[in-house]
Amino acid sequence: MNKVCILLFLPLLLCGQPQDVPLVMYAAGKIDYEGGASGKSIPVYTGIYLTGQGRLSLGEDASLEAISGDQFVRLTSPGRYPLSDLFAEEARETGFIDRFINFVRRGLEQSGTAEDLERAYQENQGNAQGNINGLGDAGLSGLLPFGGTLFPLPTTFTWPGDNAATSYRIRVVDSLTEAVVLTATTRDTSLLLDLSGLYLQDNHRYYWEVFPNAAPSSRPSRLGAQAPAVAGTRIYFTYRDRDRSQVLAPVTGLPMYRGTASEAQRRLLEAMALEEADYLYAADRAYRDGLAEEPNNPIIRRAYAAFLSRWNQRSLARNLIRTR
Amino acid sequence: MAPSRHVHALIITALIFALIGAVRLVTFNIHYFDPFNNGIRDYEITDILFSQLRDPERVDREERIVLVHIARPERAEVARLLNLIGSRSPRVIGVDILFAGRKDAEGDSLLAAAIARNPAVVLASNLAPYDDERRGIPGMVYSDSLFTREARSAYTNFLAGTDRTVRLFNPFITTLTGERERAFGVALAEAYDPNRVGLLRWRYGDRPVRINYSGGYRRFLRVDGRALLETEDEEPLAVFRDRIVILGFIDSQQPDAPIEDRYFTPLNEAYTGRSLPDMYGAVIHANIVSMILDGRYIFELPPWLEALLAIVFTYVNVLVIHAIYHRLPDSYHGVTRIMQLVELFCFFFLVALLFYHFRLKIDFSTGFLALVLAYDIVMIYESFIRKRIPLLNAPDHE
Repeated sequence: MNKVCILLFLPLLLCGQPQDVPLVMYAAGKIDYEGGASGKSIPVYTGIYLTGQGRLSLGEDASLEAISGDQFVRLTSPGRYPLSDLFAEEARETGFIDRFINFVRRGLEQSGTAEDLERAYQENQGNAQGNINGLGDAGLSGLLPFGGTLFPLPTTFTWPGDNAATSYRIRVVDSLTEAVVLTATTRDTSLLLDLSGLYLQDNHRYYWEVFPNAAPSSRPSRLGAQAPAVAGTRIYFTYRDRDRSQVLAPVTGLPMYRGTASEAQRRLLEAMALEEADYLYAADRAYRDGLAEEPNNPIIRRAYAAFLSRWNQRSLARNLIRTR
Repeated sequence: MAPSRHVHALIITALIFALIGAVRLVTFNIHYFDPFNNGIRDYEITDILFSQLRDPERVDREERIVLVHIARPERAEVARLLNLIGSRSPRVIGVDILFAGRKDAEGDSLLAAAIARNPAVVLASNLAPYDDERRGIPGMVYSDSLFTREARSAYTNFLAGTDRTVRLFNPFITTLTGERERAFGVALAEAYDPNRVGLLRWRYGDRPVRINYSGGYRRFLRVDGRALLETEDEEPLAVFRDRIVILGFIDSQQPDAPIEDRYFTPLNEAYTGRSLPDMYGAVIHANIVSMILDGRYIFELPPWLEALLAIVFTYVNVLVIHAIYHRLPDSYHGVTRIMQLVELFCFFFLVALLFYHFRLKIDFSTGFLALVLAYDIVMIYESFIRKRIPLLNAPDHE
């Protein structure tokens, strides 16, 4: 009996222990490890084992990747990260059977009826859309502007709140040169920026991103897991020094536009023209203005929901229809 | 005497395989179908397992290998890096760069001196293009003799071009001149643990080996070569002690990172159709080294056994489908299609499970294709062939 117990448990004792000590797989920039086994603050480099329950401190532009057991963590934002938080929870493991069933389900959805195809398409939107780096609906929900082209007008940048954040840092960056055009810190979850006052070049591509300035206890994202709602999502947009009325000229000249008594219908036509010209933020405003005029107009509600769905704001779109 | 049901099943099975052979012969030899053919040829069922059925949350870390990114292979810089890394006694330094010809005298001499100073260096070489007439590799393309004088060289070629998925590599190749060459990964693994390479040689000889990818760049220790040169600290160099170091182009893994020396692998999320190459050559070499050191090879059934399995599988299915055709003529279509679907699902699951848990790869695509065709061939046999060949019928058969 004893022999059986030894044979069963010896491998468990022999394996796994060294792998559980976090190992730094990649380190760039200024990174320190404070309060570890040595009790001192030590600089962190690739190949260092992070022993004890210390705290990682990342400077500006630093990045770090570490593995403990088979858990992978990547840190790219400046801040302090207690090691106990980074590897506190076991990553949610999906078994082989689950992954197999998911794979078959996706395959069936993509080869089924037109309705299924649409659903599969929507589920894959996050990866398919060119202007977003990967988070799909979860990463885009509540973010505005969410891509397209922007006018040189006051624009409200909006993002969802993060409970752990004390403030937010928003950046507007030139996507080609990575030059930072603007950095601002705010306590709110929105910021009004007059784009005509920024040094933006006509027809250039930029992205904006927002980082919650996390309290010490907040955890960074683990690669592959559901990321925090806003951190790290880059939203690309094109800036065009063009007049709004110029874009709307083909619509405002129409007899239907001039002849209608309904302001809501005018906003609807404008929204469609703006979306057609890729001015998504302006189109969104036009839909909202239309809804403000006639909140119960089913045509505007459905057109707005369809617009939101097309641009990855599916949760909002669903709510818009379900409240009816 | 009328032929038994087994004879019918055998004939139908033979027809199915004849059709599969004919279809392959026709489609794969017509240039018009090239895009279609390329898609099919560059796809294996195990690609789905590598790319879709692995748990992306889990990363199996590899501590024996360090990857060093060199953005521009300036020879003087590489020389400085070799001196820095070599000062920390790594087991072996693989340089995944071909230094063809001589450039500037200063850089060349510095690099030659650095290589001479570090006996652990293995330089990259390439196999010369395959000679169709003589059926073999005529020779090797080495770095300039100034550098290879004091260092070993090993070829970095994989058994696929940059437009195909890298699944295999040749551990050893004997050129037409009689030289026995070894792959880059094999040379690195041999420097670390010669016994493991002995095992590889014993098992595979000169045959191609399927690469068991354990993961992408995340599982390896990585250092930026430029940052290493800029720092004055000694601590970052400690990572190289007693480890296998691979110098090469290992940029970020973002989709817009340079495509240089980047290949398609079965880990690519898009396992069919168009996508971006997903892994740098140096990371593939690192995967090969890791596989050899762990002895975690992919087992494959011999082709004759796979063929036998496919024939038996088809034969049994034809027996059943043929029986359904006669006994349940009204529901033949529905019952057979459901049976095919259930079987396809179960066998795919079985193939996936065997690969995932036992690293056993079974190529059952012919069996799957035969199963799909069985329904139609049974109908063609019964309604067309059998009616025209009296020998296949009982005397009272209409």
